[in-house]
Amino acid sequence: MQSFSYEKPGSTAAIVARLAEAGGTARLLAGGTDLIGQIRSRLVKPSLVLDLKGARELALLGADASGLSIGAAVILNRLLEERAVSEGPYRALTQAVSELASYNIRNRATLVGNVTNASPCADSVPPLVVLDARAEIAGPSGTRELPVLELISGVRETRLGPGELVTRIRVPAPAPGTWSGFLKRKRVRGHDLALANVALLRDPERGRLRMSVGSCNPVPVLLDLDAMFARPEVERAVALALERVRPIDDVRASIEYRREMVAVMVRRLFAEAPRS
Amino acid sequence: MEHPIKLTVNGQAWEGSVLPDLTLLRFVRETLALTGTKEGCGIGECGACTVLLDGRPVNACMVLAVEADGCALRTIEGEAKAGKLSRLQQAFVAHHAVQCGFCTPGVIMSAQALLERAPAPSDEAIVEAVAGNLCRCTGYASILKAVRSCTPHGRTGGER
Amino acid sequence: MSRLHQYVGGEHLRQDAPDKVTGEAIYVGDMAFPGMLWGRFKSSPIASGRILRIDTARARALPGVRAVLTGEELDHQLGLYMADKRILARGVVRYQGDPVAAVAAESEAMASEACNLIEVEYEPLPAVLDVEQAIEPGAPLVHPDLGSYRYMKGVFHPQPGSNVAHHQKIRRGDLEKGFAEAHRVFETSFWNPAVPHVPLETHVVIARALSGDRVDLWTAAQSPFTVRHLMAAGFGIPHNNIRVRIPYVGGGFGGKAGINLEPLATMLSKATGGRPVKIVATREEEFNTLPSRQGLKSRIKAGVTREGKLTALEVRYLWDAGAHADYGVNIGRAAATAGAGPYFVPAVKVDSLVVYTNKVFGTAFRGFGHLEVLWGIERNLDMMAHALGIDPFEMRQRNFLTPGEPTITGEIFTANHGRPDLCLKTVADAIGWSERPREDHPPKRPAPIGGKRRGYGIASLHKSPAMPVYTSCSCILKFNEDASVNLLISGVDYGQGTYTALAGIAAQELSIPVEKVHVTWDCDTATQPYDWQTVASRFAVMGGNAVIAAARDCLDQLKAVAAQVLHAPVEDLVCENEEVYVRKDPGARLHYRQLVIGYSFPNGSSIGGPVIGRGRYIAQGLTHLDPETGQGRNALNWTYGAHGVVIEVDTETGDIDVLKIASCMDAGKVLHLAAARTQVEGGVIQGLGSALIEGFKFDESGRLLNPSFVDFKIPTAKDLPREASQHFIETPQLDGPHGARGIGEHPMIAIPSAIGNAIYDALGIQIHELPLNAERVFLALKHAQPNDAARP
Ligand SMILES: Cc1cc2nc3c(=O)[nH]c(=O)nc-3n(C[C@H](O)[C@H](O)[C@H](O)COP(=O)(O)OP(=O)(O)OC[C@H]3O[C@@H](n4cnc5c(N)ncnc54)[C@H](O)[C@@H]3O)c2cc1C
Ligand code: FES
Ligand code: FES
Repeated sequence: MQSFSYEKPGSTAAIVARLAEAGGTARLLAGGTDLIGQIRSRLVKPSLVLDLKGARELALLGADASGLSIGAAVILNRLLEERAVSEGPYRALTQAVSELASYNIRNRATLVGNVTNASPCADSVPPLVVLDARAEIAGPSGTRELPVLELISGVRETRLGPGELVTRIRVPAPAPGTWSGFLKRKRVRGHDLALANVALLRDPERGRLRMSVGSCNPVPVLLDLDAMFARPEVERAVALALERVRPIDDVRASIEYRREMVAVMVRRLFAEAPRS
Repeated sequence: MEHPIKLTVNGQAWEGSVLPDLTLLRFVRETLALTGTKEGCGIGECGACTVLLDGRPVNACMVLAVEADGCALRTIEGEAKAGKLSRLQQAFVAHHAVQCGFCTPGVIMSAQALLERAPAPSDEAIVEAVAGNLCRCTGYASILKAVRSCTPHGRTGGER
Repeated sequence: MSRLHQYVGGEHLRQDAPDKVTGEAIYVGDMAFPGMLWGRFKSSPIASGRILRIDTARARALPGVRAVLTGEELDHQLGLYMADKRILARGVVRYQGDPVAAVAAESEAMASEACNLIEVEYEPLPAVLDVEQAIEPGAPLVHPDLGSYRYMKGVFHPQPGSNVAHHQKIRRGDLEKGFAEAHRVFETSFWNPAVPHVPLETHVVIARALSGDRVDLWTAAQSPFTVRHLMAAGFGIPHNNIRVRIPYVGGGFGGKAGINLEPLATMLSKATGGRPVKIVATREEEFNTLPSRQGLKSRIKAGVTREGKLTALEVRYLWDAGAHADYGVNIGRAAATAGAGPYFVPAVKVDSLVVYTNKVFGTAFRGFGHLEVLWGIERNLDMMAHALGIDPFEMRQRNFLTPGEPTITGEIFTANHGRPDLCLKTVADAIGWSERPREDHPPKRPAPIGGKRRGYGIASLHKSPAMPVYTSCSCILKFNEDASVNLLISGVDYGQGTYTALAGIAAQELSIPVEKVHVTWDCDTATQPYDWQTVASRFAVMGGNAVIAAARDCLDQLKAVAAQVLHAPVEDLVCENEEVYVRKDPGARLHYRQLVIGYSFPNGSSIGGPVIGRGRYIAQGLTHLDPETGQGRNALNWTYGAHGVVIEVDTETGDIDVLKIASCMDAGKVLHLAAARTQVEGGVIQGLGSALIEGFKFDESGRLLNPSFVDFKIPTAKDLPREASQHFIETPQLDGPHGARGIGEHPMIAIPSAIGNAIYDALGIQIHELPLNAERVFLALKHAQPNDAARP
């Protein structure tokens, strides 16, 4: 592996300071399940790796009436182990997490890492998008927030500025009665990246119907289907989704199959979602 | 630059320093000379490198050795105590859950961690726990049987 | 009275298991030697090209680099059946992944870094990637020098000036007449992609090139003596100069047969003045550079009577050998002999061509071409049955070989060959074939998309070991002071359980507890007796016979000494439960312990000496196949079997859920029940991998698109059938140990065929290509819809 130096600052502020000093040559290390592979394959060549697990506050997982607050060092399995999350109204998210990689990988991999890695097929992103999740960002000029979808700007690209990191992801508690679901298509039932994945959210209180499709475009697609909340039209939703997705032909699947599977997943989620 | 780290390895204290680009897998196999932990891919996909860090099974090829600073590390070498195989190891022998054996240490570590966190896991939980460990020889049936035999219902249920 | 120490057919524990569950088992990758260097190689990024320039200067200048080699420095031409391979590419590269230069350095990181610093300039040449194009006149030649290569004459028939490395012909009966007599003639074709073996342990070797042209090797290989032989032949040095040691091996499945990285490690060691050099293939190299299973295109023309009896079969097999066909030629030969299925066919013409292409090359793979061949034959049989309105089970029963009928190579099938019919009936019963739903199964038209549909499928299989006519094996049993024995034999047990079965045979023959038989796992050509190769499921049979002979030799030695002590004729002595006694006077007995290192009389005078038994076995009655007709006897024995499956297909996604798999083999005699059962369990899942998931994909330039576990998936614990059962028929093999035959490879052979047949039963569509992954199944169903294109 390409050599680099390693530091484990003790606070978010210290991380920001070191990030800013090091300029573009530093990389943040959360679980490392993406980063270590990328360094090994020379996709990235950092001179400094900043382990963010030294900052206590980033390991915090909060779950209360207002929603979830998931620190950057919180591993994915903790979301499944914490009842307030796994039994809370975040079904699409926990479904996505339980289908992400293998159990052992999820003992290292973080939710924030999955988002900031900005892979088009990141499984947690469509659920986070329909759940209106926001990324809290710390940087040299203080903190700011961005909706998850706005954070991601392209394949492996984010809108984080120099010296910035995502400290946590906040998922607002959905309104009572909200239902959400997630489906993922892969080549084996074991761990595999998504050919396509879809999350759907239905919020009866606010009359919202939101759908997000991943693994097809550089950045997951969000569809606002509120207009059909009262009378959901599945085939119209399918058509809208297919209008927006631009999958590619690659080793994992063809364009044709990806599009068909997006349609199937949309239909299945609609069928599963409660009617009223 | 080398980083000083301190950890316990199968219950014994270890202190030394490591280069930042050393993976935990290399550290275990080369620095500690505990070669029971295997490398099958180096990219987190096969599970041959599974070790326990603070009780959690992880793919050692996807962890840096420096990250293990302050942790309790367990490898396959620590599972047999005083020359006596652990219950799970005995079950693997009894159920012929071993063929070439290359995946075996990793599978055992994944399954052992499961039995410690959930002493009565469902069949589904057993599959979930070992599904990150690829095995090309056994077809998994004997592995699942061996793990099941170490659960309360497996003990009463006997062979399939 | 039940006899003591009966282990054949039993379930005694595997001797290797304790080492493996504790992590104590040492594999080559776990070994290190003082002064050891790390070897790495640089491989070609293109499928075909001329090497214009290799600049190694920067690599050589790197601190810690001890040797750099290119093909120009290595003059050896290697191969077992067809010497078409160099240690490093020279002049041209023939596949993406072809090694072009190699380095030995003080650390693995330095070796990798040095490889990165080597610059190679290529002039791309046209690549030939498709077998059909490769046999067209004027196709680019992968091996223009084919005519000058050394090969096994009389067995293989290369065609210089073409891409055909071997053409196996089988001709029997009057083809014209056969087709003329047919009620219907069917023509169809099938395709299998190349599939890698994926042992969890990648290829790994440590070599020391010593003074006086001596070589020491520690390698993860399947066959110590073949490694030695190929090294001796390739380097032109005496066999005895080469010592090959094989400790535990992390899976092989055929991929570690022959030699792979051994010559390169040896030459690197030599270039460093004899320092040990270790090469561990990365997983990517395992996919990209090391051999896989060949692809196959089959074209089948079959004639059948109204009643479904085969009258004639004309088949062309085009094997996609990739860039080297050293082993591929033998697969094209052996699989052709099984190329009509376990059936009697009056008139047959088989042309099996092993064809070079610019892709990663093929080698032996569990099943040795039979999975590929039967993917066509067993699917075609079902297609014909359906077209004729005959139940596929019945169709097979009508065509199975029966005693007195010849196989396609002219061997007469006898009652002792085995029971393909019973195997099929067993699996059919196990899956409820006769009670399966018939209404709309198979549907007359392609099933509409929507919901799930069930399908039932069956397929038969057969296979004989593919090996040279002179294949032999030997065994040594040596007694220790406590009357335990060491069993020395050289058929590497990389997980198949053979050694466990052999320990049982030895213990039973010697009448001692099986715990007292210690198989020497690490194999060393300097100390272990000769064996040909651990391939072809031949080892249980030949090794078993050698063990029996060695055990009997021990008993003779024990009795000879006991006869003197007990003053009884040898014929009156019985060996039982670790004792020798006189039949008529059971009070006169000696414990083996008193005899195994020599017997001492009370006055101190001693007779006998250490007991060492020797046993051997050689394949008997085999002949070369006639070059024009393929007639001859090349099968040591045939193992017959069958698979039955019940699947549920999600018509909206193409997902296949395997509800049931039943497998049945005619094992002759099950030597070790647990080993046999777990071999079948594992083989079936590997077969499911081939059926549903696995296959190399290349882009149009010949670059491998799925060379890592990210995109090359194999079954995980989540990808299992809901229910799997293993059944055995025991029709004793006359010359098998206790009547046994090999079953190591067979469990995976007809799984794809059975699933393909079940898909037709479920959906009414015939798929001709593997793997039957969700995408392929769904798109095939979609495009078969009457109103295709109406959907997104
Ligand atoms: C075998 C295997 C299977 C996988 N399967 C899946 C799958 O099915 N679905 C899926 O979506 N993913 C999968 N992944 C990818 C990966 O596990 C996830 O993306 C994971 O969630 C990443 O989290 P991490 O903590 O490991 O990230 P890291 O690797 O630590 O970081 C990822 C990237 O984000 C940056 N980063 C990390 N933290 C921050 C931060 N706080 N602020 C800004 N930037 C940051 C890093 O510098 C790096 O570029 C798989 C990976 C492996 C090895
Ligand atoms: S070696 Fe770590 S997962 Fe394969
Ligand atoms: S026993 Fe060989 S890989 Fe599992």
